[in-house]
Amino acid sequence: MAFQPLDPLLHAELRLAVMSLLIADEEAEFPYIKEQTGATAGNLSVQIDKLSAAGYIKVKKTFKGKRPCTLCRITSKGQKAFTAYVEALKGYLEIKNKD
Amino acid sequence: MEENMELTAERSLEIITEQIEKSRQAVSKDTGQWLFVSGLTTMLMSVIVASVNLLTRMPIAHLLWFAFPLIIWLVMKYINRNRVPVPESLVGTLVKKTWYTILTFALVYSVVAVVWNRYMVVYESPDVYLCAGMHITPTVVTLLAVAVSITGLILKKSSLVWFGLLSFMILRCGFFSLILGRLLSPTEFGKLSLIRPCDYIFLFALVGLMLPGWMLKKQK
Repeated sequence: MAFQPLDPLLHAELRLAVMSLLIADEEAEFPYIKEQTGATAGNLSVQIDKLSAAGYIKVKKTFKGKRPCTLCRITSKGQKAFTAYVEALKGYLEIKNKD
Repeated sequence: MEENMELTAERSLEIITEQIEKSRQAVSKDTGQWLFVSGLTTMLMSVIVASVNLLTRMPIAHLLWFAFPLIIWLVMKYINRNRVPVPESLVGTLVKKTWYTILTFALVYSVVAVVWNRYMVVYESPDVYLCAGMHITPTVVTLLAVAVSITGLILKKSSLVWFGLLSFMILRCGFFSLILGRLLSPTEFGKLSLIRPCDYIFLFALVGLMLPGWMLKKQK
């Protein structure tokens, strides 16, 4: 059985964690994602930029009162990529289980 | 979390499961905070209403209950002012919509019941009132207990389901009145009518809201 290639953009711990969070939550603020993933602000910012550049998530910068607020939302392209990643992952796990 | 291209399939699956579970836990804790604060505020409010009723010797303070949704909203807004908000999720939305629906039912029922009972008292005989009067506290307590149990089912917290059921049983099956009846003399028991149903509401807030809320809040 041929392995489905795993999307390299999603096959990284932090980016996968961000995408998994955004799959569960429709829209999340930057501090919430930081808290849940336990990542540093700098690293998280870089990974969010990569996901945003790929069109997997949409980043919206607004204000909450006087404080800046960064909102991240998964796009339909991101949802499809995540589904494809999980499907590909299943293939790897099935092969391993058979072994 | 660092970037790691040597991710195994198992680790990937673990990350996905972990994050989805974390999202559920965040909703769970947020709901816990909400239940805990609502419970505490309800207990405090029932003490205030009972005290005012005792002092004025009239059940006028019960009207304060209509300001209750606003009080809870203000308290929650104050407590959450510096907290990172929990994002919208399917689980969170389900919990929120369940409570909105139940609270709307409770509020509409209470308003209609107050008007209806007032009409009964003025225009009908006591016998008719006894038969056709609308009972606010038992109905509202039943609705809220159901909401607590449904929340438990959505969040997969069986303790919450049991707390809902327990609070409903304690108040609706007359256990509480039975215990009070045994502990107090008939005269003392009769005097309770001035503070009724604040004692029931206090107990419900403790068992049905505050305790399960505290448990959800404290979970790891």
